[in-house]
Amino acid sequence: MTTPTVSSIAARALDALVALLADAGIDASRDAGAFYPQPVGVLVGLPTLTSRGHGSRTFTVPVFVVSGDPFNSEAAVNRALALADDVALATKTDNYRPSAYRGGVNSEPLPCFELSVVVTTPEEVSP
Amino acid sequence: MSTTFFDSRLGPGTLTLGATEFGYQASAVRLTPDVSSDDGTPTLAVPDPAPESSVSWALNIDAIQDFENPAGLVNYLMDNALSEVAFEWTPNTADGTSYAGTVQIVPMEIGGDVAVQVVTSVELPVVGEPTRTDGAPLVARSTAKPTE
Repeated sequence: MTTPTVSSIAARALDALVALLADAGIDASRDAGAFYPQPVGVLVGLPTLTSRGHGSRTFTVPVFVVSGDPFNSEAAVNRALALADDVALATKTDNYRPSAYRGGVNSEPLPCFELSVVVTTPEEVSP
Repeated sequence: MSTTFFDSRLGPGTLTLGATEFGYQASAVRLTPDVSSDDGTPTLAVPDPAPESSVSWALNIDAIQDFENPAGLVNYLMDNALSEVAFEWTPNTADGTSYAGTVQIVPMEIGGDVAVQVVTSVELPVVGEPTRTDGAPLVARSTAKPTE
């Protein structure tokens, strides 16, 4: 038995965001279950549909730059900040904020910087 | 006499300029009439004449800027400024109602705020009158009953 492939426009928006980050040399994951930042990692969160265009939809997607180490040293903070800056530049985003990420195999919340990225995806992929 | 309520909404739809589809860039599309009226001249025979009115049309587009794309809307308008091209606008492909005609291309503003999605408006004058092809309204189809 095979599982049918389901690709919603929101899933395509997340894939496009992961691909955009990959093009910038940033390894990002959509898989929170397998996400294990060591020492830092980038996780693409769940999208919020914010508007519809004539032939597109726009989502706001949280992107977490998560540190596996606590933010109790300058080195750990600077390492996460450098990656957050790279993600902001790659996604043409003008914001990030310190936050905490809880999920995956980590029982305790991990320190992170959270970006809010706007992604617009066409309704249908051109052949 | 029965009345059927319609709530027409845009999207997903298409917008073609020349042979190129730009619907995915548009966040709003309007076919806008501009009516200019002058009072008619009262005469002894017609003391209260109808206004002398004329109607012209424009295709207004609000679009997400795509200046990185050489074949995108922003650069298409820049490259084809002042030329006349055919347009076809289908507000909602599921319904199929469409409007077509010829527009004069004018460039749109390029750029805007840094690091945010930039939506810019442009008004393309319609040459002559647009034409309409009627579609099949969803509400009318879903509520249609056999004639008794």
